[in-house]
Amino acid sequence: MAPLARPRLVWRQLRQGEFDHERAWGLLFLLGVGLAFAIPEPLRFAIQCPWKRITHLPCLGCGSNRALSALTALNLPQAWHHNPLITVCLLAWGAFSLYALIVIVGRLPRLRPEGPWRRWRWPLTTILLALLGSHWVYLWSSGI
Amino acid sequence: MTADAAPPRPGLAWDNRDTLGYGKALLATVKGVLLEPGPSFGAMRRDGGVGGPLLFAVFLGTLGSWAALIWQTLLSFLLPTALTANGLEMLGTVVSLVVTAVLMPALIVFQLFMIAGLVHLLLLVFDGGQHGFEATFRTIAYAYGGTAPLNLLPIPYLAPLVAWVWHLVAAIVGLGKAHETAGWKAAAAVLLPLGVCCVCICVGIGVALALGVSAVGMN
Repeated sequence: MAPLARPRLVWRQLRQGEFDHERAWGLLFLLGVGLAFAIPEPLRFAIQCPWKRITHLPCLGCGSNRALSALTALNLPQAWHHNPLITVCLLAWGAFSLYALIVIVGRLPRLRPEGPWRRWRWPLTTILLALLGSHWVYLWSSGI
Repeated sequence: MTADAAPPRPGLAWDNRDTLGYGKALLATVKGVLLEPGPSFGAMRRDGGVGGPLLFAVFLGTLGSWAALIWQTLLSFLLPTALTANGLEMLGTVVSLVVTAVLMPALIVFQLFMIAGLVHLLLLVFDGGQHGFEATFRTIAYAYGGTAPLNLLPIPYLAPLVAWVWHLVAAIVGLGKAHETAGWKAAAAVLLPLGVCCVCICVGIGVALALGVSAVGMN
């Protein structure tokens, strides 16, 4: 049995007509930051998780609003406590937006996946599911 | 490369709005998405940018959300609990209405990209997103914009629910056609986030309902 080939991340220029992920997701991050400060907290917290109301169990997104509020106050430990998944995702998105700003302003090559990623999708999905499961157990056990 | 061998798609009426005219193209696209999602999304172009579909979805989504907010607010003010509300609470509700209405276009842009991103990620997991994120985004935007006019029906709470369910149906059918993938893969990509992450439901329909909920619960 041949060993699984490794997928790669390569730096290359955008192709003609290719979707510009850096521009789209970078601008969306700015929009999200703006919305996080623009939407009044009472309005955000008026929305309750229907899943939790019905089952009394947290969903993977429970605590997101509280984590977002803590992040906007730059309180990272509190954000992590309320929802580690959202905290990690938002921080990663922020880092990606910084990278996007640099490559767009500098007209630099973009980082793109190449190689046999399709062969790796089930191992990656298994790892992702395990992480999501651990996250849910944390939310459930900590009473979020 | 089956994608290259396939005949070019004519595009939805909104893709050809410059020749058809904006009003005619808008109505024809809404009609197609609502009544014949299969043939419509079968004709949808997979490329051509996200600006056109985004404009379509934001325009119709904002109109529909404003209509839903108005119907829900009117109903909330007619409820017995609203009669005992003091002036300050009423003012709070009106301010919430204005803030939500003003921010609605930005919320729709944010929501569309988040949902399309999540759905495309799941399509990749199921090996069903071979035509790229742009095709997924265009499908989600057209499905959302095409079903948003249902919110104009003066049926508080029920009209947004019907619009949301039909949006899901149109998105599943559309993704199947856009990516030429199995229906179950498209259905799993659209429906799994609902079970996995309720925050998406909240963002999708909760913002429109938030004012109504806060108005009902202000006592």
